[in-house]
Amino acid sequence: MEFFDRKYKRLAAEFDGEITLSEAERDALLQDPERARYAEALPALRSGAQAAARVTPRIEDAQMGAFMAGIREGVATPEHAPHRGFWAAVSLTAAAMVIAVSTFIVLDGGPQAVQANEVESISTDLEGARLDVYDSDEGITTIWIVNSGDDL
Amino acid sequence: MRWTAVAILGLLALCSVARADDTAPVTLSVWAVQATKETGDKPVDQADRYPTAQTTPPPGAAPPGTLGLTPGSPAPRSRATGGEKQYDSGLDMIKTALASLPFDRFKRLASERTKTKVGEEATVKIDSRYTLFATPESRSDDGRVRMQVRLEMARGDDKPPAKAVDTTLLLAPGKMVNLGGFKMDQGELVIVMVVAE
Repeated sequence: MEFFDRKYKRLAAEFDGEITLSEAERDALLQDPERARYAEALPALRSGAQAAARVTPRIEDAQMGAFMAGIREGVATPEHAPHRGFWAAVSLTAAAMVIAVSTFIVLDGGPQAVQANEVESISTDLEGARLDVYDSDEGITTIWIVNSGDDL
Repeated sequence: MRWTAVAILGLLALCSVARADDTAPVTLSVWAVQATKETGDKPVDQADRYPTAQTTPPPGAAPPGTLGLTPGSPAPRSRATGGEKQYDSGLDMIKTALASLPFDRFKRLASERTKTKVGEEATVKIDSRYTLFATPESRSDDGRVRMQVRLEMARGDDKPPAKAVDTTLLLAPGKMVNLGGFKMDQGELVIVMVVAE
């Protein structure tokens, strides 16, 4: 948090030689004990950063070929998807079952037709008339009006 | 995975097509016949033709159960005194349905073969008095067609037509249905219907 504070930034900027603080301003900033400890730690921070920069690995020209080969190999290798083969097998099995069931339904020709007619409801507006229904052995259904009278 | 999904979708489409017959048009054949007795002009006595359990069969009539009808149900009794029955041309397909009826002569008034969509009404004009209306309502899982059939009879200019018969039938393909007994100036009207297989 100190890094983003304006007063800390001014102390760091003066340490880096970017700005020059007046003695009055410097004294005012260092009056705060936290800022004073920060100012004392700045030299140690600088030497530590310089040491870290010195040990950063570098790729020499002779190593560049192997480095790029490793990059290409990593890009070309697909990401490992666990259990991918399992789901493929499940999908193929389900498809095969659908094929088998559908083929059976289509080739089966559907349900066998019932061999008889059926009268579900019957009525007449003719007064005094009666409608009789009967079936013959040949499967012929007869609906016959009886005593229809002269309703004209 | 992509081809598996395509195969599954294709099979589902095939199944839906296979099930599409439920709404396929219905082919209905209708014959309207004027049935008369050549032996004399008087009409067939309804009681003799169609005796109930309380009436005694007329002399010479076939005993119950010998006309191939369901035992116990009322059956028409033929009063034909002899000779072969006469059928107009074009009635060969329905001779089986007409043969058991107690008439000698069958005259073809109208015949029609209609292909009607489910839910639509087919109209067959028989003569100046009778008109038949048939509406396929649905197909059942066993292949039969549920059909609403109505025979309307004109009653003169002042009166609306009467429903001589209004029935809902489950028609098995290839199995004929007789509608009969409707009065005409001579003889009686018999209508034979059959749904195509």
